[in-house]
Amino acid sequence: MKQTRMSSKRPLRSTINTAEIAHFSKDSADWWNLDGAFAPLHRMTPARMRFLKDTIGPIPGKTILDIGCGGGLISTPLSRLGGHITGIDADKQAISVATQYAKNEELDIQFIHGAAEDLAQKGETFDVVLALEIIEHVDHPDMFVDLCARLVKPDGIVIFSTLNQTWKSYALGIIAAERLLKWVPVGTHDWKKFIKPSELSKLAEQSGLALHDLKGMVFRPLKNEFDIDPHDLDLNYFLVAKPISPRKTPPSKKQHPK
Amino acid sequence: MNDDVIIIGGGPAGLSFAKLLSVTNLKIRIIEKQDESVLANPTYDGREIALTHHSHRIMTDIGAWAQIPPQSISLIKDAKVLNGDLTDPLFFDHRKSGKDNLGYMVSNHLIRKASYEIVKPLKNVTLMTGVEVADLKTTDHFGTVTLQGGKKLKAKLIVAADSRFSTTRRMMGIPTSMRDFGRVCIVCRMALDRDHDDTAYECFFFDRTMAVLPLNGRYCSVVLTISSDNADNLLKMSPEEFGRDMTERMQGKFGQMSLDTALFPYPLVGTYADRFYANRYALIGDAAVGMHPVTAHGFNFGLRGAETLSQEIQNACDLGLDLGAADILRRYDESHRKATLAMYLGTNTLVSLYTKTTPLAKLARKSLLMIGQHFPPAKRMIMNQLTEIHG
Repeated sequence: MKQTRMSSKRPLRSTINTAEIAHFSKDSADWWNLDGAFAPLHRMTPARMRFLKDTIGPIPGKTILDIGCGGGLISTPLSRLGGHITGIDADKQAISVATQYAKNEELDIQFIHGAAEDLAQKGETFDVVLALEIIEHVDHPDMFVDLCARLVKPDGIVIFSTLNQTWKSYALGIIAAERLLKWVPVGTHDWKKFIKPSELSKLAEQSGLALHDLKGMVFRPLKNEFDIDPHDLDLNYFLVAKPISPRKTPPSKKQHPK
Repeated sequence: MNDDVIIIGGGPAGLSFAKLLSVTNLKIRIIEKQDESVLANPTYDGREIALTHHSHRIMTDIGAWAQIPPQSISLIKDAKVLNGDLTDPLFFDHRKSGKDNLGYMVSNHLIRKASYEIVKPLKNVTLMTGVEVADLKTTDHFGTVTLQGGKKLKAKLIVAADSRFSTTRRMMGIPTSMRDFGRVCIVCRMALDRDHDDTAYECFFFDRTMAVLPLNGRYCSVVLTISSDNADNLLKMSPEEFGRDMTERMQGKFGQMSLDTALFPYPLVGTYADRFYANRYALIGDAAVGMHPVTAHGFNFGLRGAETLSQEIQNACDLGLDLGAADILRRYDESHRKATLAMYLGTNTLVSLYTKTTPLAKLARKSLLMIGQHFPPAKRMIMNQLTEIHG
C-alpha cells in the first residue's frame, strides 16, 4: 500500500526528555492536590475541557489517546463523559497516581507507563490524539508531531496545546508563574523550547496534518479563571489538526456494475 | 457507590435543591428524619414566608409555584418601616421598583407540600424518610453517611440541609457564628377590620419588633420578636386580650385585629457558618445561613444557595469534572457568601439597634429612617436587597 503520510517515512525515535520526566516525577504524588504543584493545570481544566468538548463533539464511544497524561487530569473527565481513554506517560509515578485515582473514582481508563512510540510501533490508532502541554517538554518536536500524526485515525483529530514563544509567555509563564506567584516549581518550563503557532502548524503540515483550528487560552485575573479566546494566542494556545485525507478518486461510472 | 449526591434534610431547601439538581440525571438520595406522611401533608405552622422575585422565578422554574393554590398566594405591593411611635415611615413603593409588587406571601406548609410534590415523581431521586443520620465521614473520593441502625451510604458529595442547628455541620467540624437574640419569635395569623392595601409593615417598637404582612382578604401574618420573659406573658393571653393588645399597638390602623390561629413561638437564633463546605460536604438552607426573620430572607437565601450549588455541580458534570471537588464547592461558598453576608450582618445590627431603648439608639434609628427615606440611592439599595428584583 502506498504511504501517503510523510510521518511514516521517518524513523521512530524516542522524543522523551529524561531530565523533564525527572522534574515532573518529583511532584507526582501531588497530581490531585488542587493547591499543589499542579494547581495551575487544575485551574485550566474547566477551560481545557470546554474546548475539548466543543472540538471533539460527542465523546461517548470515541477512542482518545492522552499523550503525557500525567496524573490523569484530562483523561479522567474525558472518561466520565464516556470516552474510551488511553493515557500514556513516561513518568512511572504519575501513571501509578493516575491508575489509583481512576480506580477510586470507579472509572475504566487504560493508563500506560511508557512511550507513545511503542503504541505507534504496534500500529494502534485513535479517534482523538491529545498532546496537551507536552510538546514544550519533548526533544525533537518535529518527530513528536510525526508520532501524533501516525497515532491518529485518518478521520480523527490531533489536538495540541502549548505555550507560545512570546514576551508575554516569558513574563507570565516563567517570571510570574514560576518566580513571583510560585504557581509552578522553578524550572518547569524552558522558554527556548516554547513553540510558536506558525512553527507548530508548519510541523503539522510536514507530518501530513492540516491545520483545522487555532485558539488561545487566556487567564482572566478578575474572575481568577482561564478562558478560551479566539484571538489571543500570546500565552497558551490550542492547535487542532486533521490528517490530510488521501485524494479520493470520484466514483467513476465505468466501474459501476451495469 | 450507591449515589452521586446525598442530601441530608427534606425541608423545602433540601427538596428544592434535589429538584434543581435532578436535571443532571445524577443519582440523588434525600435522608429525612420525619415520616413521609409529614412531608406529604404538612400542617399549618403559623409561618407565612415572604418570597422575593428571585425566589418566585426559581419556584416557577422547578414547578413548585404551580403547586400552590393561587388563592393562597398574597402580594406585597408596598412596604413601610415604622419607628417605635409609628412616625417617620420609610416607604418602599412598588411603582419605583419597576414591578407590580415587591414580593409574595405564601404559607410555609404550602411551600413544604409543593416541594415534596415536585420531588416525589423524580426517577433519579430516592426519598428515605423516618431515618436519622448517626455519623458522617468523608475521604478524598466520597462521603459515607451512617444511619442509625448501622446502614452505610456512600456518595460523591454530601449536602446538608438539616436546619440552622445542623448536627452534621458539627460532625464535619465547621465552626458557626451563632447569635442568640435572647428573644422569641411569635407568629400568628390575624383578621383585620380594614384593608391593608397589600402593604407590609415593619414596626420597630421599643421592646419588640413586629412585622404585619398582608395576606389575601382582610388578613395578615404577624411576626413578633420579643424578649423571652415578655413572651411568656404574651403567650398566656387569651385571644381577646392579644387582639386588643395588637389593635392598640397599631393605633387602630387596621381597625379591630383579632386572632385567627394559635400563637406559634419559635426560638430566635441567627446562625452563619464560617464555611459553607468541607471535604465532599456542602451546607445549604438554614444550615448555611440562618437569618433573623425580620427581613424575611431565610427561605429566599435557601433557594438562592440551592440554585447556586446545583448550577456549579451541573457545570462540573457537563465538563466531566469531579462534582464534589473542593474547587467547585469553594466557588459555591464564595458566591453564596457574597450574596448573604452583608444582609446577615446588617439584619443583626438593625435588630440590635432597633431593640435597644437607650436615647442614643433611639436617635440613631430615627436618623437611619430619615436617611433611608430622603436619600434615594440608599432606599433603592435596600429595596433591591429586600426584593431581589435584579436577580
